[in-house]
Amino acid sequence: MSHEITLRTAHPAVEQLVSEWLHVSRIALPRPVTLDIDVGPLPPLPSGSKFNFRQGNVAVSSAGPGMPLAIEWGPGMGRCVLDTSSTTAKVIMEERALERPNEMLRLFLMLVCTFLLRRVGFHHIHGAVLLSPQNKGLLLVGVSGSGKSTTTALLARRGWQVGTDDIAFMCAGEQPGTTDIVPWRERLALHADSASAIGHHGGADLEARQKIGWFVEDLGTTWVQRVRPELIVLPTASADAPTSVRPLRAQQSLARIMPSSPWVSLEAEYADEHLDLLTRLVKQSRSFEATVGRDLFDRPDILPELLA
Amino acid sequence: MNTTYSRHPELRLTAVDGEGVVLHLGSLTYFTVNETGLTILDALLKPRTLGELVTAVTDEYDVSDAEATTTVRDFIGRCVESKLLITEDR
Repeated sequence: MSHEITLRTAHPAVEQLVSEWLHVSRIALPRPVTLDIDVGPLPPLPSGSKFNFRQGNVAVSSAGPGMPLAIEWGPGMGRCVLDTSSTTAKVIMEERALERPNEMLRLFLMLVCTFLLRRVGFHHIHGAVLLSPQNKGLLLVGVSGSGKSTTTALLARRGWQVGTDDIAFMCAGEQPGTTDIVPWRERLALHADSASAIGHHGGADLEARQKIGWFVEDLGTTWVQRVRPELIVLPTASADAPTSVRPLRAQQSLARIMPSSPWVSLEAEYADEHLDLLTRLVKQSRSFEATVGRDLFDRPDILPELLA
Repeated sequence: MNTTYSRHPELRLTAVDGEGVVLHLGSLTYFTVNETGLTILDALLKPRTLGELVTAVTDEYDVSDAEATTTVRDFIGRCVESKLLITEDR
């Protein structure tokens, strides 16, 4: 039996925005978790909290092992204090936070969900997830601008199923000793030049991200809910060089993936499980670094041919 | 006086294909280690002296005591500098 993220809020605008976002995500969890959101004055930070990590305007801090984690959207927009073993994230936001829905959802609440989902064995990784027509799972890992979304959109048009081009969670695989990836469903987001080169028209204007978005179904393929990767590709987009791939050793792959799964370093209580999932992932997969060239627009099959 | 070395409690180690990746939770940093480094860190599950670590390496690899001592001393020095290990003088 799977569970969704339960939203608890008395604020109608929060209810509308967040429930739609969660509904679209289609995330299926092994145990229930709750996002409890109030709008009002922010509570104080737990005493002794020390800054650990920052992502945009959101800072994560903790007073140490076993102590609650504080996730703060600054300055003074929202705050979540999450106990180590709690599966309910208590979030308080200022009213003005609702004027910035993209930042509220994709940055602040996404980070809250990232730590909330850790409590049920789901560990975030920044990557794209696909399934080939031959049922081979592919994980594309890299920073923004590395070519993940463009490659995903191109392969989608060649019959690959797509889970996500950006946000995913590792969890214990259905096969013992393996890692599966569960995607967080949202629109694939492409820059206008990539969308144009691929030949896509229409799409939703993702103004805050300066991109154009399509659900995978709009690209003529289907969404995949869970993938066991057999291939890991770390792409780098190139305007000049042709598409090429180079194999990586498992250790190299693991070290290169870790920056895309940085929360492994936080919360000692969950670090071992997180690191174990990353280790299984590189052990079960063949890894490559790839240069993704402009030639991929004309011949998307080059990449799977090179990875074969 | 004899110095012993042990893993920092915030160190996490994982092995893949005979090589390792070390994560330090406190400093949010990670390092790759080769096969010999992995052998040394495996031996450091409990406090060890330099001599005991040299023995762990010579038991595993066909190297002289002098070579092993240089390797262990360099590796331990870098680990202590990166706060991956704790030292204790007895």
